[in-house]
Amino acid sequence: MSIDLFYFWRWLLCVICTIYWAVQLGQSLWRWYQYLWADYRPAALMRKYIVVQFLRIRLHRFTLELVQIAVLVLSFLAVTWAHRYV
Amino acid sequence: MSERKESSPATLSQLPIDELRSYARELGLNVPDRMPPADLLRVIRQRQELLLELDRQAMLDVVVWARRPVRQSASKEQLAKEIASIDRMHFEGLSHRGLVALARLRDIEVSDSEPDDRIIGKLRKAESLRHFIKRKQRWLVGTVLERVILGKAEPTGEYKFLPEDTGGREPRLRQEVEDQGIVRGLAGQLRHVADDYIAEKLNEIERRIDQKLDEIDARLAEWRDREIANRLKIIKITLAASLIVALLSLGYKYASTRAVPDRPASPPVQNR
Repeated sequence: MSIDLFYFWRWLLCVICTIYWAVQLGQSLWRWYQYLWADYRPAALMRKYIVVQFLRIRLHRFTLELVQIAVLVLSFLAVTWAHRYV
Repeated sequence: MSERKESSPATLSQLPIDELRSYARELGLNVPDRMPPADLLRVIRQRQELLLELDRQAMLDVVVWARRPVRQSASKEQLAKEIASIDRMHFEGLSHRGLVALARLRDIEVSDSEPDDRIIGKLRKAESLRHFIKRKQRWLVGTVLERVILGKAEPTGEYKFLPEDTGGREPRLRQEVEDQGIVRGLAGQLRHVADDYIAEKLNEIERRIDQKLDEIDARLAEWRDREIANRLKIIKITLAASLIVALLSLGYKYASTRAVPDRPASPPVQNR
């Protein structure tokens, strides 16, 4: 049985990164949930304030960054799609 | 400013075009930017005539229904300005006369004898699609926010008008001395002066606290923007790294397919 080292490395990277991302995100979301949805007044105030801060975000300030991210995502998808034709 | 605007038609015609336009919009008139001054004046006068025709109590009904904070003694013009900002399209709890007044202020032809259902139908029909979508969007956002912030809807209490602005000064010294005697009169006056002083100081402290809170808020907003920019930068770096790996993978695949020639077709299996 022969294993291609490059493919193995790519697969391992993908698995480790995905698990790491999922665990980190889950932990972070859980901590925020516990903090914000606690049943006491400061938490309720903080929750309202965070909602207000979110509503006051002006996306046009980050237009350049968002465009760059969109271009990178499209490029990534294009390269992934190109694997079929090589 | 409102006193100037509630002046006679002669002074109305002396207003500059931009003020005239904003005044018309405050009254709930839909005026385009390029409307000539003469037409603007005409529509404003028509609106003023309509206000004269409308029943003040009916207008108060509309304001109470929409729960807008006004004084009971508010003028028709103030009420009209308040009503102009009402976008609500659920008419439960609005009296018939209020409904008629609201429809007429929204430039819909209705008569007093028309049934409520018909007037409501006309009001709904007059709403533009853009306005409808915007209202529904606000309703959706409002519902979500209410659930997030309040958890459940709180029952609304009975409507109360704003307290009237009496504009009255404290009783004068002569009157107080006459009513309560010299010592009590003087003490009363001193108390009023002290109250005024304390109220002024409290206002000053409140102003300073508000200013400080605004500064904190501005700093937090700045920090929030910086934080978002940092997060976006991290996303960009991650995406760039993923793209590099994807390109490497593509190159490797290309090289491996070129380096390893296609295997020859396997020989047919011979029958034993």
